[in-house]
Amino acid sequence: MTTNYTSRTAVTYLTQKIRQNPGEVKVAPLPDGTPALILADGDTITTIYAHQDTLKEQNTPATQTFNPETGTDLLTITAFTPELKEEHLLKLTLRDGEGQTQCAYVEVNPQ
Amino acid sequence: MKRQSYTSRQSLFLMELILAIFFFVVASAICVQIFAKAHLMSRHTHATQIAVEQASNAAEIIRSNPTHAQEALVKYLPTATTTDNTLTVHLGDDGAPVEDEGAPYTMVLTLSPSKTTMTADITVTQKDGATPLYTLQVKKHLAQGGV
Repeated sequence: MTTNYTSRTAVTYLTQKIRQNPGEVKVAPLPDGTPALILADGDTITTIYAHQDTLKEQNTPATQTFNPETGTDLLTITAFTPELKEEHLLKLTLRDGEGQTQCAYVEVNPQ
Repeated sequence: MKRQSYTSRQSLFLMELILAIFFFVVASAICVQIFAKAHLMSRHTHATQIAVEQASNAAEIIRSNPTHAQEALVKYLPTATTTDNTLTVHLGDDGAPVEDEGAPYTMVLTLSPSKTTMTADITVTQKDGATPLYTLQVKKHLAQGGV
């Protein structure tokens, strides 16, 4: 039941963020090589990524340099993998601190 | 006289004890029923959550690739068995697709493609359940050409 409040909530939060985002959704590696979810909305970029066993979110102007330390903590996790499987299909895999893995497919950048 | 009063007090105490035991038994029976009901509700909620998650995942796969929905579903749900426009996927306890036909959950996807729209009916049922856990209909307009 705890899973409902951890990884499921996080996956639901991420899918809602993706659906709400009017701009492009893409996956790009951070400077340390870990994949991050990038939601572009005009001049603002939202980056969702894993850093030191924590899922983080950071809103920055497109011109600002990204610093992984300054993001807002969302959840304690052990793994977060966003994968763009096809042009319009994103796969999110998230393993929470208790080892529960959640996987979700989301349509992105609709035609 | 003294003996009669002693007997009367004894029977009064016995009656009080019987009444206390009676209320304890009634309260216990109610509590056990509440616990059993809560457990069943928790199991049903877990099953419904798995059904919603997997049906939503399948719906997103269809929406992302409506012109070749069947191929996309087979690609991302590799244990699916296909019959004409119907796909059957068995799901394990954690909702992951499995090959075992005795799996606790079964998801059936019926695709109805037309020239302009891809329609899919998704139904998730539990092994012992007569009624579906969750049903979902997906409709996606085909941008060009159709199927």
